[in-house]
Amino acid sequence: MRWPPKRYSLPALVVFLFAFPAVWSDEFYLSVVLNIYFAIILAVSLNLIIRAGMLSLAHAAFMGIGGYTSALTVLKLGFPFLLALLSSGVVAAVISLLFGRLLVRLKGVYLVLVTFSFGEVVRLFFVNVEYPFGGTTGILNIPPPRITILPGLTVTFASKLPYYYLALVFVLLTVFVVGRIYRSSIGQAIACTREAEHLAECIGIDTFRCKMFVLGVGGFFAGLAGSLYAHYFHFISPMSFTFWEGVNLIVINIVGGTGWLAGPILGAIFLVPLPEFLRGFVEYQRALYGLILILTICFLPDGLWGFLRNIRFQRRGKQAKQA
Amino acid sequence: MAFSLLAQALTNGLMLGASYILMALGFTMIFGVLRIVNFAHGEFYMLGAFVVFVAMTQLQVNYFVAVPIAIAAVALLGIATEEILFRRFRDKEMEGMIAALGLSILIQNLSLGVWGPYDLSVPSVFTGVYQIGTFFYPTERIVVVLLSVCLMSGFYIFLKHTKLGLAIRAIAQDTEIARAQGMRVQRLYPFAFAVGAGLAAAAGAIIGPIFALNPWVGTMPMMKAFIVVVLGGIGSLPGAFLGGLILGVAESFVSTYGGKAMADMLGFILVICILLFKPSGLLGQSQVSR
Repeated sequence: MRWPPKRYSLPALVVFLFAFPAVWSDEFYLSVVLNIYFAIILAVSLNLIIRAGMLSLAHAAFMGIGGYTSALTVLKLGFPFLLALLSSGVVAAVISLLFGRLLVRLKGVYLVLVTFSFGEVVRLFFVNVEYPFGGTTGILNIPPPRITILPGLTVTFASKLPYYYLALVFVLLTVFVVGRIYRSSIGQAIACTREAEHLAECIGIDTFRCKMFVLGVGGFFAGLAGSLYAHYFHFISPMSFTFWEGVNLIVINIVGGTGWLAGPILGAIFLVPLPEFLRGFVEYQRALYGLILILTICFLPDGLWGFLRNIRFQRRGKQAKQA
Repeated sequence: MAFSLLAQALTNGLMLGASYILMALGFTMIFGVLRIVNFAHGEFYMLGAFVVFVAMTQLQVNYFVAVPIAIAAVALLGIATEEILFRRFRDKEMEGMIAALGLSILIQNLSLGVWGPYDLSVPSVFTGVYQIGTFFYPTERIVVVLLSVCLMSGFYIFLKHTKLGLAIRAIAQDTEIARAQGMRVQRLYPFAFAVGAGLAAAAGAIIGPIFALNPWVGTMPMMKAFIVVVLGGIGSLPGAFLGGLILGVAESFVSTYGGKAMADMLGFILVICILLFKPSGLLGQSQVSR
C-alpha cells in the first residue's frame, strides 16, 4: 500500500497550509507565499483556458480589470469588500465572455496574437483614461479588506498574517472549482475540444459553449485575484499587468506542465520565489527565468509535473518487473 | 495654418513609417520562412543599438563603421539562435513562439545585467534642423529615412536578384516544392533568420541613437512591427511595407490631433479587427486554413 494513503494526503496538506503561519510567521516568507498564492489563482484559472486550446496572453489584463473594479467600487461606491470582490470577478468574467465571442473563431498563433493585442488594449485604456482610472499612476490608497463575519465581528485584513488566510481560502476555492470541472463531464468536453475540435462537434459537444464556459470561469477567477492583489498592495496601476505579467503566467503553466492541475501550482511554487532566493546576483535572476522556459520547452515538453510523473511511472514499472 | 499642420503630420508619419518597415520586414520574413512568431525581434533591435553604443564609445569607431558591425554581430547571433534553438521547432508554431518568448526574456535580462537599468545615450551623430519651406525636420530624422530606404532597397535587391534571395522566397512560398527542387532547406533557414535579425539590428542601430538606450527599448518597436505585420498580412513583404506606411501616417495624425497614448491604442484595435475579419491582412495570402 502507498504511504501516506491518498485519501488522507489532501486534507493533511490543507491542514498544513492553515497551520503553517502559526509555526513560521516570518514577514518575509509570508509575503513570498502570498505572491505564490496570487500566482496560483491566476495560473490555475489560466490553465483552464489553456486546456480548451486557447493560450491567452491577456489573462493578466483580466486581473487588472478585477483590480480596478474592486478599487473603484470600494472607493467611489462604498461597496463592502466581499461585494466588491464578487463584482470584480463578475465584471472580469463578463468582459472575458464578450472578448471570447470574438476569440472562439480563431486558432493557434492567430489566437495568441489577438489575446496579446487585447491585453495591450486593456492596459493602454487604463493608461489613457485619467478619470476615474488615474492614468499611469493608477489608483492609490486602496483600503485593506474589511469583512463582517458575524454581526458585530468585523475583521480587517491589514497585516500579512490575516491576509495569508484570506488568500489561502481563495486559492483552495480556485483549485477546488477547477479540479471539479476537470473531473466532470465538462472537463472531458474541454479536453476533446482541444484535441479534436471537429470530432468533438461530431459527437455532440458544443465547442462554442465549452470555450465560453472556460473563458467565463477563468476570467472570473482572474478578476478575484486582481481584487485580492489590489487590496493587498493598496494600489493598482497599468504597470501591474503589463505584457510581461501575461507572459509570466504562461511561463508558470508551461514550466509546471499544462496537462495537469498540479502543473501550474508546481510552476508557481517553483518560479515565483526564484528571484527572492537569488538575491546574490540580482541582475541575472530574470534571465534565469527565460533560460528555464527555453530549457523546459526544449527538453520537458510536459513540464516539471509531467517529468516527475514519468519518473514515478518508470520506477513503478521497474518494481513490477522485479516482483 | 491647418494645411501646414496636415502636411507636417503627413511627412512625420512617413518618416515614422520608414522606421517601422525595417523592423516589420524582418519579423514578417521570419514568420513567412520559418513559421516562427518571433517575440524576440525587439531584442535584436535592442542589441543592434547597444552594439553601436559600445562600438562608438568604447572602440571609438565612426558611426558608419559601427552600424555594419552591429548588423553583422546580430546576424551572427541570429544564426546561432536558429541553429541551437529554433531548429527544434519546425512545424511547431506554438512551441516556437513560446521559445521566442523565452529567448526574449533571456536576452533582455542578460543585457540588463551587462549594461544596467539606467538610460544610456549614444553620442548624437547628426544635429540641427532642416527647414524646407515652412516645414521643419531634424537632420537625424532625415538620415534615418535615407538609411532605411538604402537598406530596404538593398534587401529588395537581395531577395529579387540573388540566388539566396530566390531560395528564401521559394521556401516561403512552398517548403515542399522548394525541397523537391533540390534546395537544402535546413541549410537555408539560419540564413533567413540571420537576415531577419540583421534587419532588426539595423533598425536599432539607425534609430537607437535618437533615443535613450536601455534594455527595454526593444519592446515598443517589436509591438509596432507586430501591428504592421498583421496589418499588411503575416508573412507578406509588400504588406509589411504598406502596413508600415499606413501605421506611421495614421499614428502621426492621431497623435497630432488626439494624443500619443490614443495612437498606441489605435494600432492594437486595428490588429484585433484585422485578425478577426481578414486574418490574411491587406496583402497577405490566405493562410488560415493551413
